[in-house]
Amino acid sequence: MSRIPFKKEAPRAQPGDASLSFRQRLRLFYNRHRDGAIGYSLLAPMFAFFAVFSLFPVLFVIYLSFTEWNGVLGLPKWVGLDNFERFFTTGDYLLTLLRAGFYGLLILVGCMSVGFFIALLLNQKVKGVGLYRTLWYLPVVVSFAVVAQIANAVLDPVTGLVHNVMERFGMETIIFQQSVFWMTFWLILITIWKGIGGTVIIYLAGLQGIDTSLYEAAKVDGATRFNILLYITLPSLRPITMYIAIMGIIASFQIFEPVQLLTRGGPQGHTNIILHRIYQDAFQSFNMGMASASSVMVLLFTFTLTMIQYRISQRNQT
Amino acid sequence: MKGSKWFSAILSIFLVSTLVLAACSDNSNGSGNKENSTASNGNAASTDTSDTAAATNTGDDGSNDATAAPAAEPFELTVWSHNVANAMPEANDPTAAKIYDYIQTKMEEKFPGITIKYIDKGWADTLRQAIMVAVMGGNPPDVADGEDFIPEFARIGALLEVPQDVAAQLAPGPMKAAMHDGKPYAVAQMTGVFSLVYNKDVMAKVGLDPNTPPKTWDEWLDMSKKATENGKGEYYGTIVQNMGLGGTFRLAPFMRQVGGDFTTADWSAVTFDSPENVRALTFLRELAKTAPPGSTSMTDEGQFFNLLNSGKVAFAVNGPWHIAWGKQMGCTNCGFAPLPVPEPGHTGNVIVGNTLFYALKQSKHPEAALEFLKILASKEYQEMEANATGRLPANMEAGKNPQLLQTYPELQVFNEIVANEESAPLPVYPKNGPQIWEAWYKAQDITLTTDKPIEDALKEAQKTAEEQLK
Repeated sequence: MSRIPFKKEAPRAQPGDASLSFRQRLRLFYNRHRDGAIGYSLLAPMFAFFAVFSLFPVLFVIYLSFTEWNGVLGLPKWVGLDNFERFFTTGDYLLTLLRAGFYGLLILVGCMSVGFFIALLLNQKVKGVGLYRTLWYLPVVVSFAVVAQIANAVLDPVTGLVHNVMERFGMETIIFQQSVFWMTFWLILITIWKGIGGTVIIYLAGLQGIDTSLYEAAKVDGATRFNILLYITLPSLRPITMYIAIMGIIASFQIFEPVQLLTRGGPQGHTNIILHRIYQDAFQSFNMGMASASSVMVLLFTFTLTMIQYRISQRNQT
Repeated sequence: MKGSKWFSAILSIFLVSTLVLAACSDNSNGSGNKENSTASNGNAASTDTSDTAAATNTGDDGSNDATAAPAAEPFELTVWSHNVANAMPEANDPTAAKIYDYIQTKMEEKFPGITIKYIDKGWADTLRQAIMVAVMGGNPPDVADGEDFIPEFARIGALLEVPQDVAAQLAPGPMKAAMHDGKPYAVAQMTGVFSLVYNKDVMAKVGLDPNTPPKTWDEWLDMSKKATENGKGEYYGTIVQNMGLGGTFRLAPFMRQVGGDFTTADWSAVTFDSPENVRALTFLRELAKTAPPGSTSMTDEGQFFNLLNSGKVAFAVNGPWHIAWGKQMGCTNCGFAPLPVPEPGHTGNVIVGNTLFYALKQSKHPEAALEFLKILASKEYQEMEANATGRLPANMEAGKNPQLLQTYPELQVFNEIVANEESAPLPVYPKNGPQIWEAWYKAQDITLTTDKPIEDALKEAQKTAEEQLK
């Protein structure tokens, strides 16, 4: 096996040197860019994974949003901006998008405020705190399908637990399924209950990361508990709060299971939200173009909101 | 150090290659079989080596040619249905076992060693979505069933055409829901129409004659009001189903009785807001007021009809499957009668419980799939199935079986309905069917659960439907 001479006194060979064989040129190239080659080789699997499972689907959805396609037969047919025009002018697309935002906001506020309060309680050094923490986190790991089955059994208009209890106490029964207010209420309440464990865990981690010397100093200075909360705990948790808020905004447009399993968009479509609408377009109407256009709109909406939120938080920090 | 860098580089390249190759490969077990890979054309489901003969006749559009030669070696046929017999194979029901054995024997005559795997994927929307997702993923079952979406699937090219001689054995009414462009794409197994189901025990308890069911709308409404009034919160008149397509099926006969419908006769235009429909829905709204409060918002169909079976309400509208199922659920003293009419002679009904079996175009074993359909369409199979379930067979010869009426005398009412009332399936819209139905469900829900004007609800639904059809 011939080797390229690397004697100090010899002139440096160039990859473009015509006298060198391909193999020699490759070897020269590799020697010159060794770190880069190894680095990119190590990153390549992640890039490949990202390209196949994230980048390609996103680009494909963007492409599909300008087409009409049933997902099975033939090739997508280019229709330009028709789907986007339809998004703004027909049906309940815009309404379901805004409703998702409204639900998301309520859920986010509920999760953050209650979650923070529970995290404060769970941060106390009391007996059996591990058990309490587990109990609060338990709903997160329960499948929503199970939760929905229980909720449907509890809220059934004729045989449900709530109905029977109200009847037993001589109260006028409520048919929740016929009330927009009540179905919205249950939908949000159950979603908060299901997701609050995650917020609690994050806040708890944040609380445990606060330097205890700050609290000790504040106590020495005579600060009350409320002042400690207001001037030490809350400011220290600001990055975590921002993280939860940004993730919550993104998640608010991804609410799907509660609607699909609890209300199915009812009564009369008044609890339908954008992701459920996308699902209906894609897997019930086979209208991939419209579903993709709605997905792109959700992406743009979420991206814009997140950017605004991020900018505001950056400004507040400076 | 140098060696470890080399090792890392080689490992990375190996990983990348593996990922790329894995991403580019199909699910074929016989990936080394070049002929199979080529035939799948990147669209149809890949085939295993045991079924090469059938798979190599794949068309340019990725579809398998139904005329392919039978497989030389044993293979598995996948059927997504819980309707092939009266129970799934794993239930070990002796009657069902006989039906499965019959199918197995018949299939083995042409495909020795074949195994048939039955999978329950639900019904209605759940099944429809499962099939659609499987079709989009290129890996659907060989055979499946359904009721209201066959023309829609045929239109997108997902189904194999059924030979005319097989389809010809089946009644034209049920087969109307299996047609697309004048060609059959499914075979009707069991079928049905709606009747009035009445609980005689409840009728007696609320002071009604249990042997005289209502014949007209007025009689029915009066009897229902009386039942609710005399029931004093324990017994009620009529439950009116609202939930989705199930509710739509049960409202349609009354719309048709007064000359209304969802569409024009050729299914090309929607007619939601016709005065006839308003009249029918107004009657049904009144009837729904005699039901247990909240029952129109129940989402579980089984629980809903158990209000009748368990002796809480006097009347409901349901199909022939209620004969056997109702008895199982406690409705041992229930009667069946033709639906009450607005005026004598104004009849109308809907073909329902119309179980249609079809073969998927991407089937790995298209010939076996079509043979399966042929067996399901046969007189012998349908007689066995009808005797096991008490349902109406779609095979015209099987329907004449005297043993069936001896076992299920209640079926006579349904035979009379079929003979005397004009019945048709629910329409299939030219496009955006699910969204048009959704608009209708909204109007239906407003009718049965609120006091808002029915005309306005129907106009809104009409407007949405017209937008969807543009």
